[in-house]
Amino acid sequence: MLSSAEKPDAPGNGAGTPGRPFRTPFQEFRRRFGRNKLAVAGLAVILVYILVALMADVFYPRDFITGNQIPNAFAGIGSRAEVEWRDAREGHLYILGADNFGRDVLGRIIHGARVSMIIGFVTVAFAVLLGGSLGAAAGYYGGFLETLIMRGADILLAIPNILFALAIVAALGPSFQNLLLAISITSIPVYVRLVRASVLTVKDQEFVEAARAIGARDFRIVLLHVLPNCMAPVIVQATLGIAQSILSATFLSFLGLGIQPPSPEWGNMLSEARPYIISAPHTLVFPGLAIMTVILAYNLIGDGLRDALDPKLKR
Amino acid sequence: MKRNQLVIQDLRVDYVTEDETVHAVNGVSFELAEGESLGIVGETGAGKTTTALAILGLLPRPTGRVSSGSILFYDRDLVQAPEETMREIRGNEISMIFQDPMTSLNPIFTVGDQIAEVIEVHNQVSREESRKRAGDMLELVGIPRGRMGEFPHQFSGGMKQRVVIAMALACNPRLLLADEPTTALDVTIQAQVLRMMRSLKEKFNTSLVMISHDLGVVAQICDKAAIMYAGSILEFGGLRDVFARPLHPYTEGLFNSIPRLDLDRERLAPIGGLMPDPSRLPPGCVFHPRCPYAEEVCRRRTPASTVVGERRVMCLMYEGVMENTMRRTHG
Repeated sequence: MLSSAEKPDAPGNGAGTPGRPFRTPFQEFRRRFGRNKLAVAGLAVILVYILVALMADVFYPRDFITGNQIPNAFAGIGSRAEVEWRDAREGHLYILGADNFGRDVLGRIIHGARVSMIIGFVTVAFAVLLGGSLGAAAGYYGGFLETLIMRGADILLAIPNILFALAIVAALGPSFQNLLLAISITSIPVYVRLVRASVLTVKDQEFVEAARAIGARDFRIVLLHVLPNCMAPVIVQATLGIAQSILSATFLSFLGLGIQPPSPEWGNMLSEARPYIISAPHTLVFPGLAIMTVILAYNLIGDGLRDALDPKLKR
Repeated sequence: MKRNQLVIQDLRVDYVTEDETVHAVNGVSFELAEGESLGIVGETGAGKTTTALAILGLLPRPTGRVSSGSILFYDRDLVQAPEETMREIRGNEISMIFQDPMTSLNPIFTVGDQIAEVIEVHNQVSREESRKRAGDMLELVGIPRGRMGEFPHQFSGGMKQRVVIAMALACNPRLLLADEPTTALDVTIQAQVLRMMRSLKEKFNTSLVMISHDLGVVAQICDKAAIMYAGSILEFGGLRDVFARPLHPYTEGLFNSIPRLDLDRERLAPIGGLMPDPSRLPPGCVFHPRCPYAEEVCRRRTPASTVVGERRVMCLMYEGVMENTMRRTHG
């Protein structure tokens, strides 16, 4: 039992109401996110993919990148066959069948997951950091700087994302780094706009004024007082942004501008399997399913985060 | 005689927008000695908060600017001071308490961290040292040290305002600006907070500028009173004098509009009319459109600040221009 001196009743702000256990903001967030079963399922799917991507070499240590096994081409789902491995022959179970070069489809999907996860995280991290700082500067300082940054973002937004990424990769040449760069740059303007809008609403609040009144520097105010209060929409957007980035990467790879075969990537797997869609559908269906489940999972998490972080939907 | 700590001379602050220029503060002058407390009383929009923000150099940019006048704090002119100097003064020598404790604390930091931040910004101290001092400050305002790790939303309004006061006093400032610190609180908590502010003020010998629209609040804590209206201080003097015998018609009107228990009156007697639009101030005396004693001359001539005894009044009645009808009615 808490005495009133220790736990004052706070009318109006909902906290400390008698009979209701107090939760820290993080506990509250976890509780609300946990209630959204679809979002939790999405999170589970992503965790599985991340685990698989991390342990790709444990599950499929063999070379599924270049190790052509022509005799096993289009081996069916669950078929057993002999594969050649460093001048030795051994039995192998094709759980999801083999592609046109006799390479294990599941193995390539698992190794491809690695690429997709890296692309998702790296591009979004880059875009959030760069776009976020630009947006924060624009929102906080305003004036000419804001005009400059926002019109720059508008110009980027005016060019279709995928076309712009295409142009960058085409200009710089297809490679993993250039793919990351192209996708990062195209996702920057969203975060610039988002962070600027949040900063504009937060910077006029009294606690920011109070921070200024205690003599804090602008840098400290933005970093400690303004930005942490802008994070909720950015987290949601970043989650959805990861899905967007993975999709862009697979699309570019499908067009032959991203990860180059024989390196496994879901997009180029689709592209390679395209001629065999009728004769060997498993070479196309499973990479497609992988893309679909990952994108769906990220979107579900994004929706769950939006609901959990939105104070207006508090129940 | 005590040394004057803060001397404001003919301060004028304008808010300039594309469409109009709002004259928020029009020639405010007052002085405050060390350890003294001044209450600035006035209606909403009279320029009270703007005056306080001007002292701290926190006028909203780019619209707000000091167009003339000086703010001398220990003989340093804060209007001319570079931003770097102002930053060292803010929170360290001059602190401000904001009106609404609900929004003046950052919702995502613990109260302990927020008090410690003030100490860290101004002193080269270790994290433990600043946290220890933050705990001391919390105890000083009557909140157990154990609650340092809690978030603002776990505190009630009165306790939040105490945290804000602890933040303001953390670096032992010489001047405290309190912008309606009790307006958002209910009356019982108001009394508690005021009592605490008064005792802390005496303990640290901090000077205080208390901004309020509540004459009662000012009466409880201040030595001097400044009655502000449409950007001008119409009457300035010792609190007892001003309260006992108002010299300016506006001051008188303010007191008449307070409900009183000792007089049997059917209705309150508010001052008729509204405060003028500060972008279009009336010519002559700013109060003349609402003044019950106003004469033709009030519309043409702007009153100067006239010394009456130990007070300063801005009214033509004291310049010998017109008959002092107020004195007659008071007998």
